[in-house]
Amino acid sequence: MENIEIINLWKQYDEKLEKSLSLNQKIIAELQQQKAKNALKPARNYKYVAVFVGVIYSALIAWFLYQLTTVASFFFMNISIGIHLIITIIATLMYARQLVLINQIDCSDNIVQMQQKMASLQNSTLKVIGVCFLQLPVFATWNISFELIFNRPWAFWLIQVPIVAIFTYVGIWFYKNIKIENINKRWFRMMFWGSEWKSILKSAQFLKEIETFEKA
Amino acid sequence: MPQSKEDFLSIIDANKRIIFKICNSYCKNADDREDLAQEVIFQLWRSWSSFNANYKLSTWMYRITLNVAISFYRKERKTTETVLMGDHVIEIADEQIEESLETNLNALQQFINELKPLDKALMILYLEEKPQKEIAEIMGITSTNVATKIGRIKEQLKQKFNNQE
Repeated sequence: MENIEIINLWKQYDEKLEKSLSLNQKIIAELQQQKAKNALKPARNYKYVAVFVGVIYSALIAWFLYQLTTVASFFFMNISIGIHLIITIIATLMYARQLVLINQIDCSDNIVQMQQKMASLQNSTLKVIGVCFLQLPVFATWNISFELIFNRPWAFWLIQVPIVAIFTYVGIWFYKNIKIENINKRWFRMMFWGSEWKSILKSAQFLKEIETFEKA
Repeated sequence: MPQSKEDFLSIIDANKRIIFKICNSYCKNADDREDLAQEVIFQLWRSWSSFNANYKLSTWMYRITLNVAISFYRKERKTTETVLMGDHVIEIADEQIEESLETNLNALQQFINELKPLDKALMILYLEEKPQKEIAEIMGITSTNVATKIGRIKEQLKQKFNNQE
């Protein structure tokens, strides 16, 4: 079949539709009344909740940290909680930025631009997870004290320090490796197996598809 | 230019075939298709007040319809809140068509269905005989890129029909 025949086939389809399609004005009138229907609404609501929880949780940690700062013996605990607070604030800000991006999405943008924004938005959730892993070492440092370092140095150097080192290595490793390039690795698939992750992973793959599409 | 509800309705009426064809190309399931058609019309309505009359109406319409369709196609759970369950925003009457036309149309639809979402958009615009420049504006790629990609898709399509014969 030649190109012109294919175009004609599509035209015939169009003519057939011209005769058989009619608008249901009642539904259109209902749609014109709606204000809240939006494909992005669930994603937006989820991020509002994440930002809200993040702000409350950060405030609680900050309050707790403030109460502890006066006690010198909690020096390492303070540092650990401080790092935890900073990373929680960064993650909350990343979610807040996603909300700004959602509000900037305009369906009348060109297709590559709009789809890129949508897919990047979903993909950035993976980045937030990566950032959260950076706080892993603080779960092994909060119990360190000067008493442990000076009175039981063997326990500090032989047990505590290696544990902190392992946690730091694992945290940085996850931060660097939670990215779409590793989608086919077994550990990645085991970690992100639920249906909620499936759409995020699909969007990341779609970003690659857009990149290829943009190239001639 | 004031953009009233009535203007909107007549524009949707004049372009209902575009909406139907795009929804049909991105959704195989009839319920999903209805959800998508309603989502498209709702998004068109939302953007209607900000439509700039200096731009081409068809470019605006294709951009929104295709963007909503591609986003919908990529969604895991497709169900959205639909108004008036059971009714269809675009009704289609039973129409008798020739057997050969139906066979070819099915083959063409099947080919379009198998394309990746962005290639599918490109193919629809090509079949709608949109000028290359407008396709480039809708898609957000260069005219040269449009020509190259359409050439490739056409070649695949030709082969498919030749194999069928």
